[in-house]
Amino acid sequence: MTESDALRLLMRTAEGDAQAFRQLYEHTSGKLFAVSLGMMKRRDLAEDAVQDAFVRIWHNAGEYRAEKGVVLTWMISIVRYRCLDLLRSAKSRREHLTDGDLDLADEPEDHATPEGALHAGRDRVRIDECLDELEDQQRHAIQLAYFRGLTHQEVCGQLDLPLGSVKSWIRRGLQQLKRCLE
Amino acid sequence: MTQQLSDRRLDTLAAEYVLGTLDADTRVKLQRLMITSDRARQAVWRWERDLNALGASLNDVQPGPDLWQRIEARLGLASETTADSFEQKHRRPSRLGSGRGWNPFQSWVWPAIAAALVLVMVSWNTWQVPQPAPTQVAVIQDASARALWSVSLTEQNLVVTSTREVTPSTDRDYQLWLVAADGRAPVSLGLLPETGQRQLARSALFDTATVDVLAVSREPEGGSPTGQPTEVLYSAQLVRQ
Repeated sequence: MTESDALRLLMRTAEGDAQAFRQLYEHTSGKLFAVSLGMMKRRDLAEDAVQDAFVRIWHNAGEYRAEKGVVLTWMISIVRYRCLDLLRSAKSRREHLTDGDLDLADEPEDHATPEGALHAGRDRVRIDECLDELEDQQRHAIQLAYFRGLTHQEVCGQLDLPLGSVKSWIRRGLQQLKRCLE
Repeated sequence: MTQQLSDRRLDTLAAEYVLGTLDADTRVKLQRLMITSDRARQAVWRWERDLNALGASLNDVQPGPDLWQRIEARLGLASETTADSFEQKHRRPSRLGSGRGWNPFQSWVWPAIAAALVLVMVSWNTWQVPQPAPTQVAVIQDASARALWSVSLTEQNLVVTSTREVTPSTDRDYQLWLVAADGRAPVSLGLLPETGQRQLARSALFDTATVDVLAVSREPEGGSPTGQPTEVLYSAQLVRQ
């Protein structure tokens, strides 16, 4: 789907055209679900997040601005924020459980080599060239946060590094990314 | 958090906001700043554009085949994307008449009186287009009890009509919200027309939640940047006809 097709469908969606909305769904749901599944890990939870995102897209289609990116990145942004919200509320619920429940509630990491899994099944884009310029750990920390929705604390656990270093690595990594992207 | 934030600091905060690693307090502060600061909004939008190119690079994974039906059902769109639905919808017996036999007084007189009152209150002048009969109505008034908008909830949509009391503005928008009785965050129903009439999608919440009030907020042009009302100006109750 070209960007002008996506824009046309989004504009018709903003006018309440359910057929156009359905076409937009057909062209983009595979991508939104891939983003959601990486973060939520379970298909049912990932589908819930995509469902919420499309409800929001239907109501807010008229709020799209070209400055927010192409239509697809705007839609991905909506599903990612929804996943982050769901993950945060699941984690805060988890904090109210007893220590005994905590181990059961923690989702096991299902890939032995997370970075390998993160790279699998996607195309390289321009931002990857900038990510390549970062140190390995820095790049990996940003990718874990982006694709898995991990918090600083969780990135520490994954990379076996102190919290302070993870925070400053991510921060410096993002600053370096910005210089590269400009 | 103030306007004195350096560009670099603001940009790093925006990046972490989009990445999702910002702590809750800073996140809320940045969301508030985005309401008033164009600079903050632009910084966040730039990172949304750049970082989400990563998500767009993932290979598609198809969700379950019933996900579309669930979305359609939640938004009440099923009827619009099925060809024979119009007929089905119009065969449905009216709520007022059902189960009690046909009683002309019950089935049309009260809705007619209520509709006439609304017409008088808002000096309705755009009733040329045939509309489905409203099931609930609300009139949004300002502090001096001047009617600004009338809202009619029909089986299909929400029809909003502005009155001449609304002053059109080019740099801000008015947004309509559903405030549910269960305490959930207000849900946007769309932007209000500043002249004439506009049809908005009927939120499925009208069927699944108890509506406390409808609220109107003043927002930057294009609507709430945060998904929540920025400045609530008015509220009104929906009245069943």
